[in-house]
Amino acid sequence: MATGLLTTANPALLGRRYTEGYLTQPNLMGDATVGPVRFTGTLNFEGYTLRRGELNAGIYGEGYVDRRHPHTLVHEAMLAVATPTRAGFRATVAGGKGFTPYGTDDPMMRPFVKYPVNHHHAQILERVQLLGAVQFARGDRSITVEQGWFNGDEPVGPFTGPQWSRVGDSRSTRLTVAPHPSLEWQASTAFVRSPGLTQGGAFDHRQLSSSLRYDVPSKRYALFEVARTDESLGAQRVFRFTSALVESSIQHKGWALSARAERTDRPESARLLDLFRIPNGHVDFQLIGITRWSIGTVQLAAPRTGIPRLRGTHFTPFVEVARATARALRTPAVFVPAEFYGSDTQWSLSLGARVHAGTMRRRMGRYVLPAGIRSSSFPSAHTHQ
Amino acid sequence: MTHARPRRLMGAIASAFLATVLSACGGSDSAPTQVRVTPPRDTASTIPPPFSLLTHLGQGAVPERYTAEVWVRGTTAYTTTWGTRAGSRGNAVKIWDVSANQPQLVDNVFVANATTTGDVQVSDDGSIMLVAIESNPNGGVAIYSMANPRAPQLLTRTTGGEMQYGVHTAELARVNGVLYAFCSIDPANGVPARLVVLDLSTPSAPRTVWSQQMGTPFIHDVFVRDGLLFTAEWTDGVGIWDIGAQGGSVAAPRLLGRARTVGGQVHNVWWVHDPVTQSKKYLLVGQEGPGSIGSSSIGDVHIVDISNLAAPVEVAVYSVPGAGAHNFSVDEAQGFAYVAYYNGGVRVLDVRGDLGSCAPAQKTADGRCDLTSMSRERATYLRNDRVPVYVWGVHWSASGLFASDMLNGLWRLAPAAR
Repeated sequence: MATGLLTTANPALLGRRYTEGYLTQPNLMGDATVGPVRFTGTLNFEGYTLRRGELNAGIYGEGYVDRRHPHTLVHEAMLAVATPTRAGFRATVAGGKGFTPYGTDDPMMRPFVKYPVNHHHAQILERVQLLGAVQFARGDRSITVEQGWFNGDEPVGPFTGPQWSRVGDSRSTRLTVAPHPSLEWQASTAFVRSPGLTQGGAFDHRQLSSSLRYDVPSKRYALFEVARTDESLGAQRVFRFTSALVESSIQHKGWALSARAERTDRPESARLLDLFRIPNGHVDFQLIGITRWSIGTVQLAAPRTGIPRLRGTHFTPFVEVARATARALRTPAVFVPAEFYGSDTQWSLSLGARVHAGTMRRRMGRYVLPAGIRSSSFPSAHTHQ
Repeated sequence: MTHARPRRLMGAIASAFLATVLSACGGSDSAPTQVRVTPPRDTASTIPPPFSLLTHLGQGAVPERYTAEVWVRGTTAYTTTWGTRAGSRGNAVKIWDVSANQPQLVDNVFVANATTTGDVQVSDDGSIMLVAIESNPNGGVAIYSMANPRAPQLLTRTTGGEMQYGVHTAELARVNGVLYAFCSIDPANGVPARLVVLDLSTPSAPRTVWSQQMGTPFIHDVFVRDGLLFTAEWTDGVGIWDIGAQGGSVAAPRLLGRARTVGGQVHNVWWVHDPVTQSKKYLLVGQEGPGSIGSSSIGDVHIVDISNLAAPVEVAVYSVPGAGAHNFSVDEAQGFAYVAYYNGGVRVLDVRGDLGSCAPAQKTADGRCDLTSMSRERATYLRNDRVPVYVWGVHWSASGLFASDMLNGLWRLAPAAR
């Protein structure tokens, strides 16, 4: 899959409009299941197509700010082994690199092309991990508990590996309850050691996430999530960042109308010469402010169509509009959004088309083999095309 | 603290205002005045004496950039700049005429590819100026000829190498007649912090004589005096190194001891020499806790007894509720330490005499003497309630007392006096 995209953002910073084109989210996904063993793999090529990052008001992480960072080449490579199901119970052990059992689905598998600001509050990804899970299922209802141990360090670039010595220094737990095939509630918690400095010593993160997801494939989809990240030194909480997000999509005759509202707090760091970059790694324990982002996004996607002479390949054009406002939570602030951007309100218009070939996953980062007939983790038709 | 003494504070503000008016009436050429403070009462009283407000003498406004460090030599002051303010980067060193109370901006020196110029110092002989440059990957130092102190001329600006990750501070010090720059290098992902020492015998061609990984996870500053090097190594405390006092050298320092202070986060150090009492037993150690620059800060001043260099011990502490310490400057002749206290303004501590002995009621729960309870806090400076400050640095010298305020620029204050 990949998305060709043209984005214009006004103002992107310093009162200036930026208009840029990208090939974003280029991924090669492969899944294989042999009996009780499943491999889940994703190669992400944004390191080649998105080195400068993608204009995305409010987003931050891995040294990028107001531009979404490229993901690592090996986005997922997870091998899972499950026991047979007995009396509705099934246990799974998985290992490799991928999404930790924390939070909600990756934005890449959700309706919008622009990521929410809360990406780093609501997902912990691209970690080397060992995961254990137990699922109890009855019919199409299930309860799942997952526990993961992983390396706390965030990737520092699309082609860099993890700190192997740190594998196991962080952990997360997720409880997922699915009382109905279309309904799912999850609550999860994570402790992430020093994600901001690979050699350790930076803030530790204590994260909480809870969400309610409603999904009728190819018809209706809704997600409500809240997330919180506490940055701490030892047991002392220093900063807290909260997030609330609601998004929904409805499809009719192949047209998909989607809307998202988000309010998320972002830590601010001093910018580098490239004003879309911040130091990748701490120089002390100071922030230059906390900005509360309130963003509304609407997307209209046309029915997908086949591409002539390319069997099994589909093309989905869309238009997406976002309005973002930024407000400093602490004053006097050294980072003053209205001064920096030239306005406290930013608009973004994106025109693009998703192209995908083959069978798309519905979910991402779910490695538990199902105990019952519910198959939310299995590859199937993409929900949001 | 100010809330606890509103009436005294109002009186002090009125006094300060009156002094300011009188100073202004005296004309801009009037000599800096001094504020008299109550003589020290040392350890006897648990009731703090009335403390003074330092008198405001003048301001050099810097509205377009955030101000960082300040250095003064003669009638010229230099302030550096930090981060990005509405698109203007911290790539400027501002040059001020401070021959009068009101600082006058003379010129700007712009440092190529800098986002922050966090430290500045002029050598003891006045020949060069050293500027520390952040951030990764454009870190380094810039060295200027000061043949004309109002018009520095660039000799060299380093790029690449170990300093590319960012030089947080750069301290000039002369050891055995040779001028060195002690550069505290920022860590980066996968690259630990380190101290790099440059030999500046040829200022246009600095030569690395020692480079040592140091600090967990940061090293932020050093202090050099009498052949000893004190390194502020965050969680690792203060390293005490012999670089000439006991047979060591700058190229091959020997670690003599390590001081651990409560809470760690060791940011900066000052070894106090008291010319009156001849005491050299105390280190002032600044702690920089987490904060949001511009609005909040946290961190104490720790007093460490280094009578035994191999086994230093923290004996006292000074705390300001709601504010945190940053850089120091000490008027040793008067025995006053000026402490930049970010949103807490400037604080003046009486560091003369015995700081490690106090009555039980003057001790903290963990047994350290509390300088506030010991009436050691002698004066303070906050512009006023309507103008928030965030004071990065202070500089006391024979030229006067100056404070660099990230939000507002350069303040000139009247030094405290006994």
